[in-house]
Amino acid sequence: MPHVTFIHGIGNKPAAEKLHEEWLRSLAGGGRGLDLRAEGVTTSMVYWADVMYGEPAPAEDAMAEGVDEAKLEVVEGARTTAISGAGSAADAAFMAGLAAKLGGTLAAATSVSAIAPGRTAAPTQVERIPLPWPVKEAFLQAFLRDVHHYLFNTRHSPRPGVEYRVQDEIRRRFLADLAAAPKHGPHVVVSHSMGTIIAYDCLKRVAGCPAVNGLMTIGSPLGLDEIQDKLKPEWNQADGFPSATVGGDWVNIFDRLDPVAGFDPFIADDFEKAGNQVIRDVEEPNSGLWRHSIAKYLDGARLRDALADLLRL
Amino acid sequence: MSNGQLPPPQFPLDVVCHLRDQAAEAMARIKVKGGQAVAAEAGDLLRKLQDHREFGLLRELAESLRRDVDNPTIARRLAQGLIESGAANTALDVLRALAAALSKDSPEWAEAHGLMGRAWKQIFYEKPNKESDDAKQALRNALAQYHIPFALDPQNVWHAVNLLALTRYAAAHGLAEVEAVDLRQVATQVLDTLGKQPEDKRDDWFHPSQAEAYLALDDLDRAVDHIRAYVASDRTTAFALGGTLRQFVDLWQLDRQGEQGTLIVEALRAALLRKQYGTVQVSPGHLQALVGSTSPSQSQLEKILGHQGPQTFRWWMNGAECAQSVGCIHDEGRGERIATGFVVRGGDIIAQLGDQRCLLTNHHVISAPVCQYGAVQSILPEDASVSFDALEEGRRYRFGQVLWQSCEHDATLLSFAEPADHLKPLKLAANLPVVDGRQCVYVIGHPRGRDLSISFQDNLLLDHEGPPQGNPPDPKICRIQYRTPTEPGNSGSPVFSASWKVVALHHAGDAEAMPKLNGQQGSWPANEGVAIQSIIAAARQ
Repeated sequence: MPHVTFIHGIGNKPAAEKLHEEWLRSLAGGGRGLDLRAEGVTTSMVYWADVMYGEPAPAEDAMAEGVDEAKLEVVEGARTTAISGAGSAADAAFMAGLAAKLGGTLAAATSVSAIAPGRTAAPTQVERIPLPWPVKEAFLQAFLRDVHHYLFNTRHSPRPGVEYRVQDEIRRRFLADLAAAPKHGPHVVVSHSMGTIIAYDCLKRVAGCPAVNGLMTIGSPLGLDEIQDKLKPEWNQADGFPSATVGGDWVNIFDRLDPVAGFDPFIADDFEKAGNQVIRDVEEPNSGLWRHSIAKYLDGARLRDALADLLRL
Repeated sequence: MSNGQLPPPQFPLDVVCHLRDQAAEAMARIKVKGGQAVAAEAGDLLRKLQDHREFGLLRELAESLRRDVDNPTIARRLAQGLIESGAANTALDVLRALAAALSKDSPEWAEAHGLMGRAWKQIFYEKPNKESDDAKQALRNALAQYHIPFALDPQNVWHAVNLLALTRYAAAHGLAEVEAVDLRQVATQVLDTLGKQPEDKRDDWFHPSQAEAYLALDDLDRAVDHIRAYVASDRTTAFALGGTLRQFVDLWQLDRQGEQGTLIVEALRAALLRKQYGTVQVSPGHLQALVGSTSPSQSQLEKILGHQGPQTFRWWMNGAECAQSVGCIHDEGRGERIATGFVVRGGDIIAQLGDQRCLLTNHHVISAPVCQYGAVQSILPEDASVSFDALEEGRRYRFGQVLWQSCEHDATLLSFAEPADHLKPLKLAANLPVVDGRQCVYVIGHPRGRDLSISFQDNLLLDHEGPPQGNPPDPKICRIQYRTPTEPGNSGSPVFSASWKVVALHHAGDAEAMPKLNGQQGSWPANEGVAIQSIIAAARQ
């Protein structure tokens, strides 16, 4: 019996069970839904929103990443405080680099030109994303804070009396969930947004991380230099694939107007296996203004086909 | 829980098991202390048993109670249980006695007459020839019984709604001798009464009653508005929706009222099968027409079924397409329809067979040589044929040879004696669904082989012996159990996951006591199939 371990992305989330249910429901929806439970696939969700946030988000914000697309505004309570006075030059450089790139793709001014010639995705007419600046700003702040705290293993207190070393705690949860998965069939990690950084970090860089059969990254910022730099020395371009722990394929799903993945959505050339490009970069054209939405990705036919292949359904 | 009580059950299977335990416990207490000991909670328990179609238990508990407790509500619940479990005439006896013992002021008096109308309507439904004198008399009796409480108080809405439906049917079929009511006047009265109901006083029949009143006024658009609200409600059970659908088709004959009427009926079938324990029976000819028809527009479907409408309808269409690969097996010697079988790609079972179309059914249906299974004897392939009535009418395929058979797996794989490449093989699932108390499996077949109709049944998945928790007593045979409150007898039917992939071959059922799987003690009401991957593994050895 196959198993999927999900790991969510940035921003506050509803309680773990609700979030997990929403991911399954989104995958199963539509005319050609992939109903994992009906297909005999067990699932689990690595939940880490409580490491960063004081209390769960309302249930209706399960798939919104803090953005209310219909109202073009930030979801109540999703706003995070910007990191002020970064502690070191490294912090500052990291933040500035990421902010510049994400800010660029949020404006959608450079997303096509950023895709180098010879890439496999078909050219497309890029539309401008008319998201209001407060929405972009709030998203950027949440993204920068969550990524920074994880990669710099910052001490963080989400609520009174509780403090985590962010990376240590999330790594611990990820490894525990992988270890608890049934061992009867293919085991695939499906990650979104910052969840892709966590999944990669654990699979490539943490000693004793259980092995899996497949990896899916969705809307991933792993193509950004600033992120890759923080994954050294384990990461290098020619041998970035986590061969020791990912026995099968790695499929990377992106929408070129996703502000997180959009600056460099192709990652096959950044995470090679013994010098060979083996990752399958798959463009999933989402709709609407907010293209980073996990609900939209999970509704996509190409993502579902790729996941069904990884699970051998 | 701080109060020491168990948390309320959350999943359908938990609810059913909990209910059965409650009923068993109540009956045990009645034996020791008498019916009065449980009288206070009995009303609620009987209602829940009815909602979950546990009619056997409902009848048993109500009969036990009636020995000690003279309560009209218990008698009414008993009558409802009798009607729903095929004993409408016995129900009439109970109801006549009940009505005679009550004064007209009692609300149970009106209910008793209404249920007599319901029992006569059921008797009418079950008449194969609706034009026969018996059927007409049943219709007249139903009308008369519904009319009694309505005449006394026009605010008796459910009686009035049935009066509307039966009157419309009688008028459409030229039954002039049936006493008619003024449809427009009664429908207006119904809408007026319902319109005055405060929101918190509305029951589950608020929307379907309004829909029927608008049907009587020939206002399909407004009827659709209420149908949508009815279908969308979590409180609408498959039992209730099935009753409404039957009323719409058999009495209002909506499916004969143009494109919009046909679409409403089809959309309701889709919604019904999506409900827990939904059962849809359709004629093969209807399925042929459905699969060949143009898909309704998204807006049409959303109007009837809401936001999820297009998805639900596409899912139903996929199931209808699968039904074209499900055949009815005939015993040519006796001239009887005996069971079900389905088309598979031979290579999916035995690799060497490649794309050859084959039929999979039970060993206790067809085998060579014949086998005796208790009172049932299989027949030889040369004595059998199969028809795919939902694909092509009248054509029967004879069989070539038995390609593989297993008594232990109760499975026989047969070749066709004639070209069958145009038959579409069903997809076989790689895994069994997750057992979480919420998953459903769907059985498509010809119940008992006797009907010309094809039955789609939504079953709750109870348990299976596959990974990750399965521990089958015989590792070579992996079984799966599921439950539906409707009739058993789908031998040889495919059991589908919600993705319309075959997960098992149905082979047995016991409405009372099927031994549990995985070596567990005890039994429960269940149907049982053999996992398709277990059959494949055996065939490839």
